[in-house]
Amino acid sequence: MRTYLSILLTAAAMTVLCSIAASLIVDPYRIVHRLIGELSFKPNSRVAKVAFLSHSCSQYDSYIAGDSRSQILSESNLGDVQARRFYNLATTADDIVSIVHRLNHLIGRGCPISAVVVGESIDLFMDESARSAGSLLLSENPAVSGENRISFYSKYFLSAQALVEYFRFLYEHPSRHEIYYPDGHADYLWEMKDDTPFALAACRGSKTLGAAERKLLFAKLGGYREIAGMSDRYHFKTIVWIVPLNEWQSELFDDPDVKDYLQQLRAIPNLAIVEAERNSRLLSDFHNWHDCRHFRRTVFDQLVAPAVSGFLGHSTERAMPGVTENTSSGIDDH
Amino acid sequence: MLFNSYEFIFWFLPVALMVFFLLGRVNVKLAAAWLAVASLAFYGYWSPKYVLLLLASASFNYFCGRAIAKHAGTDSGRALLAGSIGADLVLLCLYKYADFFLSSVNGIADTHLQLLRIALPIGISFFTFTQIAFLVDCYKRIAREYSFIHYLLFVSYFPHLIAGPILHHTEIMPQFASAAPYRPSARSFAIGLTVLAIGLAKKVLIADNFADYATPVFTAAHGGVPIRLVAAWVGAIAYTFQLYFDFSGYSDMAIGLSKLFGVNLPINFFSPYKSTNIIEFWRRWHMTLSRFLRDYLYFPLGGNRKGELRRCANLMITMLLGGLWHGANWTFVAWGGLHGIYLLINHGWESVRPHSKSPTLPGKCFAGAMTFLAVVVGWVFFRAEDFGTATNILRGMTGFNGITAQNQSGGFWAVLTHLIPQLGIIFEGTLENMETPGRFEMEVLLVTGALLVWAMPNTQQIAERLEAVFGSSHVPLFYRRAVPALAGLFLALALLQMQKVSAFLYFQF
Repeated sequence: MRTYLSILLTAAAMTVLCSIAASLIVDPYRIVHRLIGELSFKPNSRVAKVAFLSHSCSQYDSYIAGDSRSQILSESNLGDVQARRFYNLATTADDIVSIVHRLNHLIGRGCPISAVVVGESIDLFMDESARSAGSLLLSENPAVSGENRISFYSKYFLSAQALVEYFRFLYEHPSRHEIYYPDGHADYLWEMKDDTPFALAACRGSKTLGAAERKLLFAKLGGYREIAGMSDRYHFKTIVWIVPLNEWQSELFDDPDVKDYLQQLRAIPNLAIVEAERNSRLLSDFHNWHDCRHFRRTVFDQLVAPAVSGFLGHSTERAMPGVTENTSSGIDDH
Repeated sequence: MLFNSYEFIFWFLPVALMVFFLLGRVNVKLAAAWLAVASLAFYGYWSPKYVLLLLASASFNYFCGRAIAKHAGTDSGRALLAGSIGADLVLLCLYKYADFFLSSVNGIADTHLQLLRIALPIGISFFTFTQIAFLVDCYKRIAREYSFIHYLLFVSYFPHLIAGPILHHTEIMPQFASAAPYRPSARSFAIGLTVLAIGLAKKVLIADNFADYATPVFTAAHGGVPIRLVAAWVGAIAYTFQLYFDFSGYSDMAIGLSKLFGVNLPINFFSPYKSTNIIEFWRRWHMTLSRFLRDYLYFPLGGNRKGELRRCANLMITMLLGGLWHGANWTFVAWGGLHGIYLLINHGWESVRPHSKSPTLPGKCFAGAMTFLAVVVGWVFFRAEDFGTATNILRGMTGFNGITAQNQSGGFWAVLTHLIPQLGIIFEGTLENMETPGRFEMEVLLVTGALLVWAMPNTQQIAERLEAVFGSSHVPLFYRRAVPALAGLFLALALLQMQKVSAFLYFQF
């Protein structure tokens, strides 16, 4: 009977130890490994990017922030950046409140900040249940969130969940790779392969916002007011570009709530707002899209970058050609 | 505190066991008292204020039971019995059914009575029923006089406290009174840990994964999304498996945990989905509840002793109240009523079918499939928040909400996607883009669930086999090596999946 119990407990202990070792070696979410190179699984870039900046932020003085749409951008996409050194701080499903927390953390560590370029998606909303469902992917770095480190790391290494999700993803998306670069930006190595006219049509989304989405959208204004205040206090430029949507989803911009939201956003002082041309043919050509929600860099380079570059180089009081003039701020170069 | 939480497994359980056996060497009453206190702490971890309610309920029933036993068979004894059962039911109704009653009145009479919105004390249905049985048996002189500590432990004993099995005092209190449980036994530990590992694995590795398919479907149906054919069946069958693995997993854990303390709990499940008719299903599903309803409701109503019509009425009343016991919602009553109708049909069939021939294998398979189908339909009412949700799912299962096919992005299929929605075939993906894991996992899970349900021995059979093997002089190699290794593996895999703690479904009842 004692042998039976010893075998049972030994088997349990060995299984747990093997799982911990495998989780540490594979580290699918890149919690303890550096975020660089080709990855076949979406990492938790919040953790890795903040960890990297905690010892390297002096190399950079400007940040690209936002969700996965912003993650493909690097300094080279912004045109003339006036000798700024950009780090891409964008992460999956990020929002302005988290961006503010992260910037506060960097400021608290003495990291220099001269400009922040924020991508604002009006079609993506993360409520608490969505966040908790993707908790391993979306957990904030404990240095920023203040979460207990034991509890944080146990989620990734004392549980088999990370490994299970890793192998599940590899099975379902064997060719969905991403490459991460030292400056934080990424290449998405997947594309719409279908050349039928319906490829983008299948992306058709809702034309209006639901009540819950409306609430989440307007809640973001608080975050933008906060970053505008930080811009003023710490003397950095904040440029917000509204993420363009593909032809089949862009009717969302006609929703009265979205219009109202954008109007309120434009009214916030110290923010420069860039809105892309909605009727561009770039937005209806599937070649310019990785998938329904992720455009290729061409779209940013042609529709957004000139205006962003203009704002980076000049005072935002100046009207920008080719984009909606939208700011009332008095940002100066510092 | 949940059985499938780290605090329970790595903190509460080891401390409770160690102190229990240490005290057991000194004084068995002290050990029993410790176990009662630990059980109250276990209950209080969820809500400390309800510990007082549990203590008050146990004290009230204990002293009422003693008084009833003294006056058993007399009018005053009967009055005491009625009064104390009435008090128990008032408490249960106040906490569990008051808002249900008020909202029903508001709905029927178009009134605006204020709802009480009292939090439901976990396990109140279970500890109320065990104590009602005790009171009735005191009146029948079946219950002998027990010590208060043993009675309190019987009511509050943590392995069964919040989701059963519903214990009968005659099967549990004599064990507390004997010396055996207070001495640690390697054999009890071996069997208890094995059963605990199986139960934990059933809950964490299987039931929670089925929930990932059932929950989005029922949530979407509740939100008014028309549920198509495949999604409706996936949701209903996933919930059927989820409920079984969740509740039987909980019962296995309760039995395994209790075995660690040397106390045997009654079995609650015996492969219910292997049943070939509904009568058999109720002999295998939530067996301790069926026993309670039979002994303390169906028989007192007259059972089958007062004619066929009365028997049908008694059966129906028992099932309707059994349904209501599960929750304060008309959908539970409908579920109970549906099973009442199933039972009446089954009894009617039993009375007319020829008994001379034993059923053939295809006949058994057909009967099993029909029984399973009937049970699945019943679970739709059981799971649905309201009748609209249940109707939506049932319409989907019968194809009235349309049929979906997997969305295809390739040429020909993409064209079809746009051309033939008017035929009722909607290319949205079989789960209508609900947030469920992948199709491959669903298929693996369904096959695993089906194999475990229909092709494997149940936990009770495994535990009995272990008891028999350990009792014999020669333990085969398979039981010495493979079984403990597998149990250890299951235990570890379940522990590694416990990060996402989820409540057991039967907590709400």
